[in-house]
Amino acid sequence: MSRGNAVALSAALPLAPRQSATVRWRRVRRLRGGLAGAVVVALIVLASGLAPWLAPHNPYVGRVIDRLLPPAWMEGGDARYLLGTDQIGRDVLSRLLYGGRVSLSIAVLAVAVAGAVGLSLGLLAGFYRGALDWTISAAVDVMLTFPFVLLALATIAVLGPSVRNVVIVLGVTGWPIYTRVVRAEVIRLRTLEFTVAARAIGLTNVRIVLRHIVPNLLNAVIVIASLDVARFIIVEAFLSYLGLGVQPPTPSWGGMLGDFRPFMFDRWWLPTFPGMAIFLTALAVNLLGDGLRDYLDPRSRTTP
Amino acid sequence: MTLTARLARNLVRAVVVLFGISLITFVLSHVLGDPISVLLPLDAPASTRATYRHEMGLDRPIAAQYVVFAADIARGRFGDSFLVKKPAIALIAERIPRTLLLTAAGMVIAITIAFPLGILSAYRRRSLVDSASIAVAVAGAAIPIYWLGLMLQIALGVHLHWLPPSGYGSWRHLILPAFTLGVFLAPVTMRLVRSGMIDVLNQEYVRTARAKGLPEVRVLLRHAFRNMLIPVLTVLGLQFGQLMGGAVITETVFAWPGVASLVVQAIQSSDFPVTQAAVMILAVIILVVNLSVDTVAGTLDPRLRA
Repeated sequence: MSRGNAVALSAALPLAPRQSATVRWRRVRRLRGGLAGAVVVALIVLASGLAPWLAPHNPYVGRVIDRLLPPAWMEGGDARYLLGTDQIGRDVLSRLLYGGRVSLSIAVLAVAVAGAVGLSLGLLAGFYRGALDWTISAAVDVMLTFPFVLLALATIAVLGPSVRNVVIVLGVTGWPIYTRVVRAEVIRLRTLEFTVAARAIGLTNVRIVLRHIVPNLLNAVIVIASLDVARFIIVEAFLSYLGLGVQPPTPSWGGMLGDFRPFMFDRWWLPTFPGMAIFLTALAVNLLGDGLRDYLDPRSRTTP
Repeated sequence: MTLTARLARNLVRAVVVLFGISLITFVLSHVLGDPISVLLPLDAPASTRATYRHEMGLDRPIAAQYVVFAADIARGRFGDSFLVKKPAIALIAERIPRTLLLTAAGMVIAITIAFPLGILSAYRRRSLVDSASIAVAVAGAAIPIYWLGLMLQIALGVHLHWLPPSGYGSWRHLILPAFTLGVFLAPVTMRLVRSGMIDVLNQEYVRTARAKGLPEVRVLLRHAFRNMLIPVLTVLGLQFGQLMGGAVITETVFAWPGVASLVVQAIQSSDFPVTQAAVMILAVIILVVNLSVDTVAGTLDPRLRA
């Protein structure tokens, strides 16, 4: 076997011998975008996680005489408020930091819900086929035909706005992508030799699925999940922007954007900051997700 | 698969999806939501509530309610809007052309940005142009378009006074929302065009065309581009639902009086008849586009007939 083949094989098989340091480094270097994304995501997670220690002010309490101050570097700015203050004198920077906690935890929790539901339904559909598969696939079809945003909007309006309901709604409307991918993978894996062998030695269905099928499709699920975090951050912010998501006074990026919209005529910086926060986070998460895909899924690596 | 078989399969799919959407709308409005709570004041006596409930058929078994509901919407009877005393369907009908205008303009803009960039990227793979286009696509996919819309309104509408920041009227009102929607759609389109073009450029007929000594432009546009077009347009057609999702956001931000912003208003004010009618009609539009794209592509492109 030539050296090239050995390298290709070791990339494809998780249990293959360890790669030499240079090969691994070459692989990592190709993932610059993913690394940059990972660093920025880590910083954002750290900044919002440490919000109680980093935030210069209480995000819930404002001083009315300090209301609507511009950022510190602009004329009329106050050094105590780096990014200025909002309509009731609360520090914008502190609210952004605390808002990050809310936005990130909603997105991550919702992805966990969507992923769990999607994975389970995909396993059921792909493994058992038949009428169950038909029903689940039809449901996926329905959900994917319809705009995700609209579905989330309609559901949250009925359930009522709250952090818990946003998580439920995003989770319940976001699962079909996982099901579609998992189902296709399961159908493929089911015919492969190791599954047939597992069945031949008399393993139970549950054991085959959990020990032999799930580990093989976990990478695909992780990749979709990472990209979904960005999608959910954006949709959650839109719901909060419309007043249907996180409720005041809890700070959230989307809610701040909605609050600041009326000031777009004379205070452009107000809607700029929360939007930048959403954009940068989504961008970093997407870069990380793309990097993960290149790293975890050898088949897609040659495309870019 | 023959054209008839394809058409038949797609029609069955359409019926299944419509049934599913009607089920979702029904569950949202009748099981999880309660029209009575919207129609009557909070302090209405229990007896009035019961009378209303009975008159509207809301005291019947859920399955029976669904049958009535489905029969009504199948005949296009969605009832009157709770807010404006007009049939929901009429409110929507007058707004559909505006939504179609916006989405069409957004598509044109996305195509104008994405096709040249995608083709160039694929042709000069791993070049500076390619990296730059990919970077733009990655950034574009992460921009929350409601924020992009807001920033455009501030920059071009409020500060520079070049364009009206929002509303509906002249063609000048169309530019900002159409551009915003274009940015929403362009990254996906660019990636599709790029990978489609890379596929095609590796085909043997492209090599043959070059070997014949044809000029590069002709190879690209006649031999490669044309073969890339059908699969790419098919996938784009299937993304129409997501484009509608983009329209929901864009119309809301720019106060564009289309169907999508109507749904958002109706949802926010619990106007059930309008919500139901708009959701069902949007679903029908999306389905018609998806299925006709699939059917037409299958007919035009023999490779897709399998």
